[in-house]
Amino acid sequence: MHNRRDFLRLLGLAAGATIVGCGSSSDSGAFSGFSSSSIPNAYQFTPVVTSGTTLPNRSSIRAQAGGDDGPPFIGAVVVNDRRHICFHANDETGKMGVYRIDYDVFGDTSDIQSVIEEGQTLSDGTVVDIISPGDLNNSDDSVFVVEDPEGRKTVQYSKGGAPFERLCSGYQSLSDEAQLYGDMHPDLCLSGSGDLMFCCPYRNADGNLEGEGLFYLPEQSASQTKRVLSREQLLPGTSSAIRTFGIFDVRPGGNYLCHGTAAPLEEDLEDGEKLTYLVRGRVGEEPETLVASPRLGDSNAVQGSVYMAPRLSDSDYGAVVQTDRDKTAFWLGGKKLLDADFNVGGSLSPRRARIISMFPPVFGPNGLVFIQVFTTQGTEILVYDGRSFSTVLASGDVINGRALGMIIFGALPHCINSHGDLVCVADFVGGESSILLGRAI
Amino acid sequence: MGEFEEINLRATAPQVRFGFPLFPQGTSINNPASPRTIGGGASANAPSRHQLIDTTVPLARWRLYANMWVEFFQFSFAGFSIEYQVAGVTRSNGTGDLRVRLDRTQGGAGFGISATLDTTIRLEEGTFRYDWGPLGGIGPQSWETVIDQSFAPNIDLINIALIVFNAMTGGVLPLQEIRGAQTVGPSGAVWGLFNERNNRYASDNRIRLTPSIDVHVNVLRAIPKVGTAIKVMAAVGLRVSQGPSFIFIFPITIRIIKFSTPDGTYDVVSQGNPTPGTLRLIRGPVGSTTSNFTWAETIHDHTVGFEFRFEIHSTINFLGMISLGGSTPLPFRIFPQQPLPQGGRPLSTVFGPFFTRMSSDGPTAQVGLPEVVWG
Repeated sequence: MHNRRDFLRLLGLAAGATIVGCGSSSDSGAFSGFSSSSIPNAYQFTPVVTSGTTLPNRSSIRAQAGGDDGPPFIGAVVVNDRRHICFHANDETGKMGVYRIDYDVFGDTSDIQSVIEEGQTLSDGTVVDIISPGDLNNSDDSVFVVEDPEGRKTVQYSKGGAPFERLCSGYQSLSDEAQLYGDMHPDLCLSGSGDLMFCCPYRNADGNLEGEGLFYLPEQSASQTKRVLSREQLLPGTSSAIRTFGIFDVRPGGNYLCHGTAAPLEEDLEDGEKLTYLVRGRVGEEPETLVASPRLGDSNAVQGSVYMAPRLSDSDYGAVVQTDRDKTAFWLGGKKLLDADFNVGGSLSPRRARIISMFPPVFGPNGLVFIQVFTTQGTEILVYDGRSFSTVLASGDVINGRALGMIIFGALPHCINSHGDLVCVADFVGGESSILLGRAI
Repeated sequence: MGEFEEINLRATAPQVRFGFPLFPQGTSINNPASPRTIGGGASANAPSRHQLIDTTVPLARWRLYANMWVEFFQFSFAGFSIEYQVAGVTRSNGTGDLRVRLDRTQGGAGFGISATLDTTIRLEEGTFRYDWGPLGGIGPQSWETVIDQSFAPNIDLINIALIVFNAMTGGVLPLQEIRGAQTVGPSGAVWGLFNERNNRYASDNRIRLTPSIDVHVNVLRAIPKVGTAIKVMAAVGLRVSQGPSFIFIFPITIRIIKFSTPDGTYDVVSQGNPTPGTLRLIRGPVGSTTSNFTWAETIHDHTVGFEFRFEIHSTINFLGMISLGGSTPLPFRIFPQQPLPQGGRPLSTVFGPFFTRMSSDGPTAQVGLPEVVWG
């Protein structure tokens, strides 16, 4: 037994789960498990749902990936402070659904419950066809953009697990500032206090289509909906105007982060390449530009493109900034922490592998930031405590006797709760997939 | 004092393809345009190809490559038709009153866009080899295609926008197919956006038409083969949307500015009228005036306000992790005189004034009308 990490692994196996110590990077390059003031000593990983599991509707989650019906789990999974996990899954017939499983402090799990499924008819008559990634908050409110077989999109809200009710749709006038008029974006974000942020085209005061707007709907009160950012609004610090919105994150109190595309005013017709921005702000206040494509002309912002979801904490932001087709970097606040390069490799991971790409970061409790990186040797979920990175889980690690292959962590922002528990989708080398719960110990 | 009653003037029995072009070339108050057939000729532009997205994003061990093009072919014409009845009185001091009633006006534009939305979404998996050479590092790599979704439907963008808008809202856009007009490219028809107003002179002393439309729809699910691909991609967390986003508003304001009788020509002014619908005639022939004449001629001026934007919006989302895309304005001209839009704001301008002439017995009112049916 070489170190404490190996010891913890054995301990986990004996307990029916697998414990993985948080191996850190250090100047010496040694990889022992360690404990800082905020990083857990280790994570105990347990598959809480596995491919082939029977669902409440008596169908089964797909046994393996392949064909046109998608993988068992597409990667969207969230967990809240009540220890409730919501995950997207495809069943054996190819139907998509979102399901919930609860666990307690000991890691014991409940039966799987259906949240929303393809083919289901909701209270407003909407027949569910495509379900957006959606979100879940600590009050067990869940929200999804649901597309019916005709392509009509509605925002469906379940308060505390109650049946879904339509909150709004893409051609609805919610308030003076929110005359929605067009195809709604599939992504939305729900804050812990039940405030919703979404994106939809809208009509201006003259009653004419203006373009996309970013909207803030406080506490399910549609008539109070505010337009936070608008098409043609000047990007702060530039003479470029916002054109579209991508993915965003919102926190209680109306702090938000959003990326999208913009263009210099009076620029000739563009071809192909979109110029992107990342802004942070608070509803009702002027935002600040954090990242901008160089042609947008903000020399104070980090220069680069943002295609991946930016993530927001109470005090900081994280973003993956791309500078060419191969190069990305992880920025936390105004500081670059990791480089990734598909061509020659970037920073070294704690396990001494060159990083080639990254998923969006996820903010955890106690100022911890998690990020999944992909290396020439596989993938690792890293945690950063403000000083160094440690590996939480990696491909090749053995969970319950099975080696991990692919991991998807961070597809949605709320995949860590305040207890430090994290959820991800993991594929085992043998072909099975699981929703993996990692509990901090 | 000469009185006259019920002289009918008309440029057409309202048919937008016969009447006055919205942008008659080289007109002046002394050289007004006469009614004629509008449009019906060749398309305004050759096919035009534009790139909507060209982005590669490193994603896990993959590269997500998205490339979208639009190739479009357009056709357009614009005009208005008008008819009304005049009556009134002329006086020996060169003044008079002109009552305009039973006015009926149609104006608008016919246009069509046939587009090919050429989309490729490819996920390539990289294989890596370490280079043990003096510089070290990750050496040459190869890429294996994991997902390769391509579709290039040729669609009538306007038609499909109508279908989708109707399905989304249950509403109906104010567009009508102009049957018999030239089709646009290999698919698609010419669509007319027009506005009709009746009896406006009686209250406003002018006629104002306001054809307008604004649309933002995702058309992909309405294209059968693409709709299937959309579902396949949704099963792995990929969402693709694409469609037209356009606003098109062009208020047309028409006024009568000259009135001619067998005695001569008067200036027409609308200020200080005793009653709505009655215009003042001034600066006309001095001396005795003819009564009960049956011939009259009018000259109008008209201006065309114009607010226009036509874009294709395209987005690719992967779970809640990646969002690519945006809106790309297309260099689409509804009117030949229209400058190409720049930047993201709608092109907003006013054209005119233009000058047109209509006579009660001129050959212009009796020209045979083409067989064009709205709707």
